[in-house]
Amino acid sequence: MIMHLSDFVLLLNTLWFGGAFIQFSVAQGNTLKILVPREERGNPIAPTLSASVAFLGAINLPIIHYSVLWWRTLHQGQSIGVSGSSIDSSILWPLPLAALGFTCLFGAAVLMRMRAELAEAKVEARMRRAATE
Amino acid sequence: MNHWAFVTAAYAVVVLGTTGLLTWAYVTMRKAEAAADGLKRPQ
Repeated sequence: MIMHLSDFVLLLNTLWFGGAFIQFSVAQGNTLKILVPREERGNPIAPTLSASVAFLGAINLPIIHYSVLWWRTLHQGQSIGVSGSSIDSSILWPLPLAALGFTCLFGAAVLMRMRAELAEAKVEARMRRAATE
Repeated sequence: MNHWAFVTAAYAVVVLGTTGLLTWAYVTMRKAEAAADGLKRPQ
């Protein structure tokens, strides 16, 4: 299968929006806890990774917003605005539904990581107490 | 241009990525909670 430029643009677009979704739907502080296992957090790369995600997340939003203007010869125009939408209603309503669904899934992931964090802290405290007893 | 290859690949990436993330979060949570329960002081 030959990859055309348009395929490459579509792929980049998916990565672009997927990356932005992950960076913004998961709280920045939790991103590190989700991505980096507890035993690796002492690694000097971990805070750099966290800062990079925060930086990329912050810088990505205005770029996404203005991409429809900056690359208007390649990119379609704005689909959803304050005054209305140019998206067909048959695919317009699944959009917020999918966003809500993915937000719930990431919410579940954050809550599970939070429970794991609490349990790992408990293990640490209990082992410390057992060592001093 | 046939777009179905792209659509299928995009769905596969999302499904695998999301399932992998959720499974990893669930498994590490259960392991950590089992470890914490194992170290509980007998009442």
